[in-house]
Amino acid sequence: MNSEPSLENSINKLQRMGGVIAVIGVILGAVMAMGNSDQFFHAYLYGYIFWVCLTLGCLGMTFLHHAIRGRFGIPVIRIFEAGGSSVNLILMAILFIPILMGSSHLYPWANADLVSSTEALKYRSGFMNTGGVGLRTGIYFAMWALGSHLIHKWSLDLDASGSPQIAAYRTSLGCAGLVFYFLTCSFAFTDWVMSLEANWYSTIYGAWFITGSVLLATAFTTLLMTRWHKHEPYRSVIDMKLDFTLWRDLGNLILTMVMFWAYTSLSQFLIIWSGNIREEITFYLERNQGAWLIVGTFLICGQFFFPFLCLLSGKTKKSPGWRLSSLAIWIIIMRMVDIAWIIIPSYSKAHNVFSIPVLLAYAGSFLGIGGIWLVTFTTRLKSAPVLPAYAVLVEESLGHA
Amino acid sequence: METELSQEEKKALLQIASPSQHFVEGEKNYEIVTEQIGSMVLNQKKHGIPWFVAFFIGFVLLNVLMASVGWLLYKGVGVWGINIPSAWGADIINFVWWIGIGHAGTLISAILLLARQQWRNSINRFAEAMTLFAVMCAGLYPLLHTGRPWVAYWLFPYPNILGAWPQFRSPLLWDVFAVSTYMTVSAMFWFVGLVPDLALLRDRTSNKVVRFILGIAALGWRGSAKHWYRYEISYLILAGLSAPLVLSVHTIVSFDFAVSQIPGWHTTIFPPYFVAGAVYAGFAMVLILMIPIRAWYNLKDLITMKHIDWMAKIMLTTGLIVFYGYIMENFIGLYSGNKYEMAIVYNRWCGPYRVAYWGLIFCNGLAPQILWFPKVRANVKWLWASSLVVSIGMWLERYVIIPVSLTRDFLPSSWGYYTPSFWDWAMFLGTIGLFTFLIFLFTRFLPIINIFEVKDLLHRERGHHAHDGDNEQPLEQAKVPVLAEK
Amino acid sequence: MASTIYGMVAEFKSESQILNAAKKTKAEGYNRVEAYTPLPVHGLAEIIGLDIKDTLLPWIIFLAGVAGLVGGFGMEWWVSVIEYPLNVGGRPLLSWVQFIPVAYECTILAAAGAAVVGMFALNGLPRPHHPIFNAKRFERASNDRFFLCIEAADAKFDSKRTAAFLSTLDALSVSEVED
Repeated sequence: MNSEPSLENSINKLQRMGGVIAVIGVILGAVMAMGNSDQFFHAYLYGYIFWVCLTLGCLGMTFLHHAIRGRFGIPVIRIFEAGGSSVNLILMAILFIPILMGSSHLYPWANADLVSSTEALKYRSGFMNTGGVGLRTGIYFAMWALGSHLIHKWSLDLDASGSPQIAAYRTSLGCAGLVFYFLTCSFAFTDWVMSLEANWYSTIYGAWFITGSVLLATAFTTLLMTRWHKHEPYRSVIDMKLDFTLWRDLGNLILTMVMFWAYTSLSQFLIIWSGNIREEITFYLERNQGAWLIVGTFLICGQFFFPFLCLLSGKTKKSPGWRLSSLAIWIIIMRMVDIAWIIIPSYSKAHNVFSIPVLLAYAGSFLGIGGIWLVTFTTRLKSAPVLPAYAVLVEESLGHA
Repeated sequence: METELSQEEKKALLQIASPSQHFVEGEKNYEIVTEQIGSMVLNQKKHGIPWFVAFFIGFVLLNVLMASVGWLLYKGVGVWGINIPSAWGADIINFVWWIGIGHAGTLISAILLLARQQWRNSINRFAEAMTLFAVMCAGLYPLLHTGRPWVAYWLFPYPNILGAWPQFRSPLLWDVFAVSTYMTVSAMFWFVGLVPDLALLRDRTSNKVVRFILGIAALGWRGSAKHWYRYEISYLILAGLSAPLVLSVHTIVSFDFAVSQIPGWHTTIFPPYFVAGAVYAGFAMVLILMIPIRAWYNLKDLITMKHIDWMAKIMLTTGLIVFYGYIMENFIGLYSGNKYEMAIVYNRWCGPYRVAYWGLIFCNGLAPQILWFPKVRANVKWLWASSLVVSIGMWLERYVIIPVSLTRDFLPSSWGYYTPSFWDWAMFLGTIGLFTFLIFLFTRFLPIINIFEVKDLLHRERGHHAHDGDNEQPLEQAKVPVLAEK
Repeated sequence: MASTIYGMVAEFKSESQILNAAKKTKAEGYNRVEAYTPLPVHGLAEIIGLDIKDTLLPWIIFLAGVAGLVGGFGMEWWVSVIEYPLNVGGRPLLSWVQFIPVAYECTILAAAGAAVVGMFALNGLPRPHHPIFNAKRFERASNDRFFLCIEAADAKFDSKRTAAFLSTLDALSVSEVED
């Protein structure tokens, strides 16, 4: 127990860091976007989408873990639960309000001139409008927060009581939650991101975004674990018997998601490229020119080939060494680039992104929202034991059998 | 930080949180496993009336296939119901249906191996065989649809006196590569898995002719530790290659439709949704075959209810993904504001094929929801029936995708209606016959369960108890060694 | 009938016994040792000793995959750009996006072929006959018995002493194998 404070220290350190980052980010964002509301909202949406992806990725992994009662998630489930916690979801719901307020700076459907001149937007206007998006987003967040709250509560209750009834509850909720999660996330990302394009639509969009979110959440958790595994209580559990498989499992999960990301991206690109239909091809036309072409090419290499080749070798997945932790950081950076590649070109006509002040505004928004997120995340992480007692007990019994 | 629990609480907790890890039931040791599975090949008397009935049905339908192929070759593809605007019909529907069924085999053998799901060990051989036979049935359709199957080799790129080359931008050519690669790799994977078992049967049989044939087929496998070492590396890498391969095959099949511009075909969800649908149909077919066979051959302690339960769960999961695909198709169709996209949604719901559409929603989307209930998954009759419903649903899905889009495209003047002809149905029945025929030949002449992998599973589950019942005693240390008699 | 000796073989009942026996045999100083088992026994090959041939396979497969990829894409490029250029819907001759599927399948096919052929070739199979099949009761090596063979080619091999040594290892039987 004597090394226990050390994990607490690390979490506290992360929390303080979050606080500092938040202050820096808010100031930076405010200064850089001062007097330019377009720039402010563009940067804000980018930062928001990144962190909401992480939140939802964690929520998805929480549902998945409880649904399949998998072994691999035992040491990390509390991190996922904290990342996708009801507190974080409520935070993200509140942070969505500025987007609604600035929708006319962001979305073509909130721009009256564009709506009256574009056939598709006119048709959609009953569905895609500030009130509708706000209402739907509110409902999604309320449901997610409820699901997240219940499953976390049952997870804790199970530790305390070991009641089979509760174990069955959380499994059922995990399954139902997953089904619901897939649908709502697809609809939500349609509202939040896909609708940045006036005409474009793609049916794989939800799956594409969910894959990216889960990839981000897994990389984030892997990074934390590579930092914290030496502290109690992680150390004793990991040393006991999970050692080799934990890192291999996390590595393989990242590998799977990287491959699935490549698969969904390629499918979408190949189909749209081949069809070459006017409404659809615009999405890729905007992104296949100038600097964005370089960013896109970089993404193919950096978010697929590089991590794929790294993770194919057993070395990376063997231990929580510098290989795995740097790869996790790399993936997080790639997610930042990818989300930028998806969002920014949709309104790149408004301003040139590749200039220092604009980039600083984006960085400010990213850090500002992220800092607050880290504070709520760590608060939540500290509120419960970091290991699910019942699952550890089961592992022990299997280990001795 | 851990809460202290009483002994009783701990016990209850362990029972629920750690479901029994055993996938091999009953009294077992290596010899019993060998006898139970191997005797199906070596003792031909084990095959009773059910085998003959099933084989006979397969044989009769195989003759229907022969007749319909013969008639097709004599008359031409006009005997099928296809015509402009529906130049694709039952042939492609059945092609996609069959190739989808094959996917469960690769999923079970490769993906579950990579996911370290050891329970796959007792069902993978059978599922892989199913893959091979399903791909054979699938391959027949495009081959015959070319009209001149005897020049099918034109599909491959090779220098020829015509000076022509295949068109690499066509998804139909991608299909040629995907399906032939799939067939080849599946066959290799299957054979590699078979070699140690063939060696076992070779060593066990008393019939000289059988031993000679098996001796050749087993390639002289002798179970050397180093051979096993390389064997396992090779097998694992083969699994690692087969898993993305199986995804790519149905993805490419979906590209046949999706890279075109036809509304209802050109949609980006197609690749993952086709793959999920393939696995869905495949697991349904595995269950349809496995449930009776495990009863006929007394394999219930190797293919346990737990296997069945897992397969049902995978079927439910993939079914939900397919259902998600339907929802996204409709949602985005309505969201798009594109009148052709909206027209296809309308045509599916209320157009001339609406019965098929609502039938598929019922069969694929609603009916399988009963699998949520553990009681249904524990009841083989219900499970068998729902697998059949899923198979029908998956056929309807392809039926809805293909003619609805083809007969209702951009210009009303080119609309039409598609009805499969007598020979379409005859050929479909015929391929079912071919499939049944091959499956039951396989059941009789090759071990349908991987013997050495079941032993491996037994060893993992029971440790040294895997040798219970083997009472031979070791030599006493002081005793003079028994040397080979000169 | 004069015959040479291939080796001395001991028969065991279980995985743990043969692992134990293999360890002791190596510790005793025997180097030309081979084990025959009905199923893969983890760690056995490592005890007996791995050589270069055992680490080669993943590399062979990887290189074959790369060759398949380059070959497949190269073929598509050569056919579509050099040998038989066709304009299809105004798409570029080098439509790399649409060349991915075939190049991918070629990669898998080449790698999988290398995995199978490479494995059998490195194992020296097919080889219809091998002296070890002369061992007594060897027909059970594929069923439920585990055999350990010390080959006569081993420098330390001596029929009597080797047999005496093997019989101390809890073997079910020990016998000589003719070549």
